[in-house]
Amino acid sequence: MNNRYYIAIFLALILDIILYSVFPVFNTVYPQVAGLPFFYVYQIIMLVITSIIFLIVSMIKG
Amino acid sequence: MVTLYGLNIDLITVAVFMILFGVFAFLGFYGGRWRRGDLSKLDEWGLAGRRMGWILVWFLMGADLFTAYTFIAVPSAFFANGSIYFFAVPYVAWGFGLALLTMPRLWMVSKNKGYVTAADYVKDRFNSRPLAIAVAITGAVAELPYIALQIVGMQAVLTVLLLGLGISSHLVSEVALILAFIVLAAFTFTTGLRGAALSGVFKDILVWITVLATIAVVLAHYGNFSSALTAAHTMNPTLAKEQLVIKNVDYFNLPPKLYLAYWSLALGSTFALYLYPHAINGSLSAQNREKLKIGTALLPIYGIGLALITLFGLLIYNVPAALNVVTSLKNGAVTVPALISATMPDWFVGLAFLAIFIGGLVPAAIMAIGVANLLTRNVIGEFTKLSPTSEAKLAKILSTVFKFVALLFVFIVPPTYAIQLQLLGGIIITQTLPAIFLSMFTNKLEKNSTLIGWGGGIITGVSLVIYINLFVNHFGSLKTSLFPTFLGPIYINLIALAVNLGISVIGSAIAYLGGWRPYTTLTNKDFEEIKPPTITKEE
Repeated sequence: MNNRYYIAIFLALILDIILYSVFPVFNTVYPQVAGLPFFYVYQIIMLVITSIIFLIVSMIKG
Repeated sequence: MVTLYGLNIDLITVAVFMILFGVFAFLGFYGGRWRRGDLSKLDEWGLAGRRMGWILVWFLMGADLFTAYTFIAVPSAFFANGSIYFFAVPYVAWGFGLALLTMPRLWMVSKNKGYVTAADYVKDRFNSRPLAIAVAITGAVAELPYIALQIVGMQAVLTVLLLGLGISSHLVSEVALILAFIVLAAFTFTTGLRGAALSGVFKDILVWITVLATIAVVLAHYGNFSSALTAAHTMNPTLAKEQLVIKNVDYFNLPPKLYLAYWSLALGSTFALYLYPHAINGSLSAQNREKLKIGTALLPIYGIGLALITLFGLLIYNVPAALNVVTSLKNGAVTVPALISATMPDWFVGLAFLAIFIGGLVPAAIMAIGVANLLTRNVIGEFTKLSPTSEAKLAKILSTVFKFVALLFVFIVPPTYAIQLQLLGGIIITQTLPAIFLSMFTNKLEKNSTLIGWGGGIITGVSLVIYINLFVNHFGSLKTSLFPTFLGPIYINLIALAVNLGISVIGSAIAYLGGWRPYTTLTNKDFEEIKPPTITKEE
């Protein structure tokens, strides 16, 4: 496939899967926000980061 | 005014609910006329004439995300089983990544070739009617439990509403179910996709208000997450004895033995998300490919709402009155409506309940429309020739019939486990992944092998679900979609897909050795923009 967009979004998806698969990194109780364990906080913050990554990639034409 | 169960539900709640429903219904009907198109034609009623900009695409697909799955099923499962059901968050993130990889390509080829459904594409790609019909029927069947889930959600809201008004708890959920169903049938029949999208915008604004206001009030006045965690721990023995929550439930973080379960639930659901006819339908209705991409890329933001609503399943421990509703009804599905009505003022409860109610109604309508499109075009249309007007008429009737069938699924799952309806739909629909997604990136899949692979996947998935629920656990109803392995439990979806892919790939290799050559009906050019770009009109 000689298409830059599809390669870029494929790599972005793999990156995103990795970010949510490194359990030892984020599967902890501390630090907390308003008593909410880090396990949840990390995954919510990652939603914003995911959107930013996807938005940048989706700007690639084609 | 505080009524029975200490819920802030009274006539003001009902009035706000009814008035906002009136606004919503008006938008739905007005939507049918907005940027007017001929609703008696199938791609006008069903694809909104392919004229949606990125904001509407965002809302329409977001409407698919803020559904009873989010409000009722996930918080309920989270409340009953703990951290594992937070998997919905990575699922949302990955799901839209996969959509960005596949949907622009499907959109382009559909535009170039005039396809309206995924089955149209499959038929051309593989030059195979049986495979196209298999894909269409799979899509329709997989939507059934998903529509059922929406009905469960609408029922849960009405149940709490009626309960708060002091209506006898014996009949309450049956009455709620009938009401929910009648409204759904009337709504789908009278509006098309465009009406659903416009009212979806209204719904989502109410949803965001509900989520953010409720979480702020609960955190400010009833205690933060750490007091909820403590209460959850203290109360677990009692709740576990009543079988509302599993024993030693873990809300703090994920027990390592559940890593594979969490990961596979997220990944399997990701595969399923954009294979559903309603999701494909939504994508194809985008005005152009770039708008589709931007709209989709921003969708993980919606996931923040989903994450917060899921946490209602934990925050409910801070509010004894809300917990009391769940325990006396013995129904985890009412977690979110109970929490809202125990903590917010009466008028706000009306607004929030309406948001959740139409949060089930709009997606159920969109799904029923998607299914009706599919069955009319790709199953019935394969056998008889239909005029555009009778095609649209038939689709409308079918969408109503279909909802009655969906209703049957409501009864095979206890409401607390409503999420299992969506997980079952996911197992079924994912078996069309090789035919729809993979075939967009390779032409080396042979039609008969793909069809046998599909069959193998469906049989594997459905039999494992039956085996684990009826013969291993003796549940008597659908309560789990996980299968135990030496690495820990895994979502059955991935096992079935592995079988499917194995057969498809090996079969294609054998066919190749037997002299079969890759398909050339569609070339790479068909998946790319034709210059100069043509205007949206087909034929």
